[in-house]
Amino acid sequence: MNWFLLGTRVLEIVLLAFVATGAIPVVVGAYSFLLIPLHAIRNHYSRAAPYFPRVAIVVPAWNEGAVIATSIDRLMALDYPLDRLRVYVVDDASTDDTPRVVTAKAKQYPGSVFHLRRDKGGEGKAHTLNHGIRVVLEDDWMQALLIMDADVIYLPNSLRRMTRHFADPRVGAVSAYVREGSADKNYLTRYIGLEYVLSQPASRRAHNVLGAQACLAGGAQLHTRENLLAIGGRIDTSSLAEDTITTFETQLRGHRVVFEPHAVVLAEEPGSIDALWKQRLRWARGNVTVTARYRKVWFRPSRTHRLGSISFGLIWFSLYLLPIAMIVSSIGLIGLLLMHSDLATVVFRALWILAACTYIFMLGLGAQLDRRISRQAWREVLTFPGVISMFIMLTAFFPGLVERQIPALFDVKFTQAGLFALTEFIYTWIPFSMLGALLARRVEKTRIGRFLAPAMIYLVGYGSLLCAITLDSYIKELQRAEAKWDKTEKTGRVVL
Amino acid sequence: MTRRAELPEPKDRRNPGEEFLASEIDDNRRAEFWLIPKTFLSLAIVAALIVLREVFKL
Repeated sequence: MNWFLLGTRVLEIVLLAFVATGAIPVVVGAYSFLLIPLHAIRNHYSRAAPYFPRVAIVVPAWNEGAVIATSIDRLMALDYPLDRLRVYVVDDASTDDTPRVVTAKAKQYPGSVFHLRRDKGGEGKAHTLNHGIRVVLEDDWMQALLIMDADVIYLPNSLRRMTRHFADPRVGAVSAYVREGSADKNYLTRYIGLEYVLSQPASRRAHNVLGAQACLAGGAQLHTRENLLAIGGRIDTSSLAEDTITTFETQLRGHRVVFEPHAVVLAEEPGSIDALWKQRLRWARGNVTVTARYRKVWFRPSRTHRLGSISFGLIWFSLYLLPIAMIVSSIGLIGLLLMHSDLATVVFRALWILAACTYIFMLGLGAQLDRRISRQAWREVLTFPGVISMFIMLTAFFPGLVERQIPALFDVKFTQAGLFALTEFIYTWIPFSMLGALLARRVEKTRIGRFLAPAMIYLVGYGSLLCAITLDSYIKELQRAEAKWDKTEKTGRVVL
Repeated sequence: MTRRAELPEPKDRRNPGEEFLASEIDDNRRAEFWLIPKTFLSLAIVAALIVLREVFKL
């Protein structure tokens, strides 16, 4: 037996398996988007009916003086019976003029707006919410609880479009579509706007079809009183993922969570890489906690809930492990290339053609689901994977074009060594794109950062930026770094 | 399939009435059917790209 040949074959198979891990999130992403048209049939509208429960709105507020007055006015102007609406602003020991503004609003709307003050602040949103929830549970007025952020603006018809699902007693919570609503959009808020289209009116419709929701929107979640009491009458304070934990606990107790795509609220999102990084690191670290906490739920189908379904588990872990899958896949490709395996080219093309087709399908469908955002963010729609990744997709799709025909236009021809170097670059690009995103964060604070950071994100891709943040969350968790609450700064840039 | 005309604004927007609310639900449900042609359109773009690759063999 030729042990060298056998060893080579085994190594080749291992490396092929490495490459295949990169295909898993792509296939799962395509699968989840193929579920979206089923929402035409499998939706909750047949069980929805006109219904106006008494809604208590709890607004956590820390130094929200710039936005809180407008938010309260908007809430009071909702298309909802005024006698069935109360707003409780929980002032988390603000040091700006938030108390003065809220007290003035409480006088303007007597019996409808209430100012609750916490003397000890800075413990995080969940603690602030719990202060308000304790108060609204003291009597039986509240039939439904709306949890929102101080900067979020609800479109007038949004609340009534959420409450109609509570006509079905099986429903415990409803989430609205949070649309990026900054008036002065920059490249990053446009990317976030597009990401929100892909993750909400697209993905959450797919989750509705599966009957399992991953996360209620932090700034737009409505609970029935029964559900709130069933989950303990409080929001979990043990992690940074209180919204996801609330969503899971609701479903584990047999209540349904419904995403309502026609209830739209506007939110202000971070306009700098650094702010986005802090916000998403908090979310990603929260997801690490959730994944570990619900380890007995994954891939274990249950009669009570659908969180344990195979489909939902695949979708969750595809996103959770995406950066690792991408790195492992690149290691596989490079290994095959260094072994001079003929399979390297074949699997590279298969993987990247699959990725290209999935990206085009997902972005093509996503762009049609919110035309306003797509019109504003057409550059970001075209460059979502990053310009360099698009070039690699082009190489996989049309190899002759990149390797021969385009160089020939400039009277240039690739040497063998040049072609090998280009191939090496292409195969290792994904891990480097994450490094590029990290570099963009560093560059952003410099004098040239204003121009260079956006250019770098357009080059490496917004997806790579999110992958880099997720990777950072793994590192922080391994280091057991302190998980602290970093509030995203809001400046009142949202307009209707 | 044709798009239904926009619902008329209710006289009292805080209490729009059962009929208006029921037709709004109906309208939203009907709007979900547009997801089917939208998905087909996206798949058609992907198919066109694959055809392009196969025909031109670049």
